[in-house]
Amino acid sequence: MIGIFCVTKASTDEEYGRHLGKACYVYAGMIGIGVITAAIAIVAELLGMAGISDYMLGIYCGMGSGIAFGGAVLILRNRRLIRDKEKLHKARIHDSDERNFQISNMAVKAALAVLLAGMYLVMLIGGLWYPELPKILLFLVLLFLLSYLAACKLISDRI
Amino acid sequence: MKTRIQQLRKERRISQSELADALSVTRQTIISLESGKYKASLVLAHKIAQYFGSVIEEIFIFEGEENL
Repeated sequence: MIGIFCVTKASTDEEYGRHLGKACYVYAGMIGIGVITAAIAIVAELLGMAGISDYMLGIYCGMGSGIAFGGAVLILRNRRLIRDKEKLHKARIHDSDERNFQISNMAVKAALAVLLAGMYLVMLIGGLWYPELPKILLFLVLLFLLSYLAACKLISDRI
Repeated sequence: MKTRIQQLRKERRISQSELADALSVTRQTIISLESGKYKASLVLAHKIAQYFGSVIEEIFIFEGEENL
């Protein structure tokens, strides 16, 4: 499987090992975000904050623990790869392969088109019952377009 | 675009895996290059040409609008 962010330009196994080591800090950040998300739900529950349903607290708790667990699994995976030279080499070839880059880029574009179409449908149908929904989704589309334009500008300055 | 990768590889009795290892790409990339489904980047084309001791134009055959 080709991961969206599993791409590297590392030309040697040592370089790739260092790249995986650095990625562990990002995953540690994921654990932190997950713990904070779950902690918000637990604190809100303990303080008995009014207006927040048990359902939403459960969602926050589940989301937080899921993100933290995912981060921990990815750290363990990277550590195992760094220790096993053969697997590290195979993973580097897979993650630095230019065809895999292209597949990933094309898949991201396709998934983005589906996401935007899905958001539009949700806005169109859900908006009839939940008037806040179109505002939120339009904000997200705007955020995407602005980020896209900013990224285009930044990247075009670099290459 | 057609390529002569498969022909050159077979002439030298090299497997797809061996070529993939030498070029630091996956075997699937070699398969796609040989079948013409995937077009190599300039860097990979250069590496392939170097590997076979040839030049890019000898290995990659550009057709029709791909030429000036």
